[in-house]
Amino acid sequence: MDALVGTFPEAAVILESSLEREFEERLADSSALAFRVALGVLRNRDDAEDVAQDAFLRAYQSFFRLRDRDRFRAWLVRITWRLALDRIRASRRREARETAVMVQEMNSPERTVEDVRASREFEQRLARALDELPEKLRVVVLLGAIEGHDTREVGRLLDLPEGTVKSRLFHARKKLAEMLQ
Amino acid sequence: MICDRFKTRLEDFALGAEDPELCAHVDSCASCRAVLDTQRALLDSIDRGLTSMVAGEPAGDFAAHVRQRIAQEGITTRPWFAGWLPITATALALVVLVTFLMLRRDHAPTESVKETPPAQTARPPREPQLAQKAPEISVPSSASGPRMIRPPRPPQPAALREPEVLVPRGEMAAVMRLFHANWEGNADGASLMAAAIPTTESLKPLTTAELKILPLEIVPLAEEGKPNGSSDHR
Repeated sequence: MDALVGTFPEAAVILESSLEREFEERLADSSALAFRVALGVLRNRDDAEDVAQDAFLRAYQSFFRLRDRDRFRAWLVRITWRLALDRIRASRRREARETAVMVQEMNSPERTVEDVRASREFEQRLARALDELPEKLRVVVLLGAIEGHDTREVGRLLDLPEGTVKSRLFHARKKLAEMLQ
Repeated sequence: MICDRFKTRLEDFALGAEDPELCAHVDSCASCRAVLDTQRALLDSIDRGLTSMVAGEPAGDFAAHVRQRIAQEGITTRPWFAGWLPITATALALVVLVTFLMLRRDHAPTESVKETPPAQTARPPREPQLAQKAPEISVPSSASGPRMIRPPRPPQPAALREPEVLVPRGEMAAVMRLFHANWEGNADGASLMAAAIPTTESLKPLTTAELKILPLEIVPLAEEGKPNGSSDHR
């Protein structure tokens, strides 16, 4: 009995250090994913970093059941998406976001003012069109744009069949094209 | 016009839908090809816009910030069952404790004999002083004849527990005296019983008296007068 009592804390320490190590790996290879998902919704770097950090904190709390890499990334995408939507609902900082985008683009040396203006106008229209998409189409089209995810990978992240992802991607792009014509 | 029937299909074709008929038509129709090119350019702009919208890397100290916040907010990563371990252990300990107490209570003396003040009215008049020495025994006043009285028993193993006995009226004090003496270790039951039983010297042998049976005397009926039936009848 004493031996059992003695080994439990040691086993807990070993388990916890193992979890820490695995979490560090996930943090390294999935931080960009979380940040980009948040950026796709918020379109503001600072807000996106905050939300991505919040998502990792939550992931850390539940990491024991998220040790599988694919499962972790899928969970991270979902929680980041929800946190970003909550953030955008809580604080309407649309003006700040648009200003930030404009300053960023004006600093690009190789583009003319007209190019930047046209590009900014298009991106604003695209952003508005994206906001009007149903959520299930929006998340598919944004994940498809992140890191060039193919439909299979998007399906894994969203726990959806590949055919469903293809269909949703098709309808999302079609709706965007209709709104932007 | 022949191109009108392809107008609605051009969008889907630009999005990647397969349409061999439209494909053949676009090769030969410049206006439809122009519409298709415009549509494809728009979709390309959308894709590039989306890609640029989500392009970017988190700051270099992103991971450090996450670790810092984990430390600051005292967040721990634990197995799902880790939080339940103390609760489960406490519950198990309680169950064991309650079971142990219940088993002990089953082995303890029963509460049927209560320490009540002596009931003066119920006490038999022949032995008042003995009843005062054993106040813990309450005798129902309505009882008559031999009554079952359970004397207080010390906690003992089940194998050594005394059986319940029927004590006739008036002998309860003697039983209690024997019990107390046994309990206090002043005397053992054997010696008390030996003292209580009269010795052979004090016993007088039983004598039998011969039964005398006198012969039965049959007295004949007295003849006070002979029956005189004929004269009577006459």
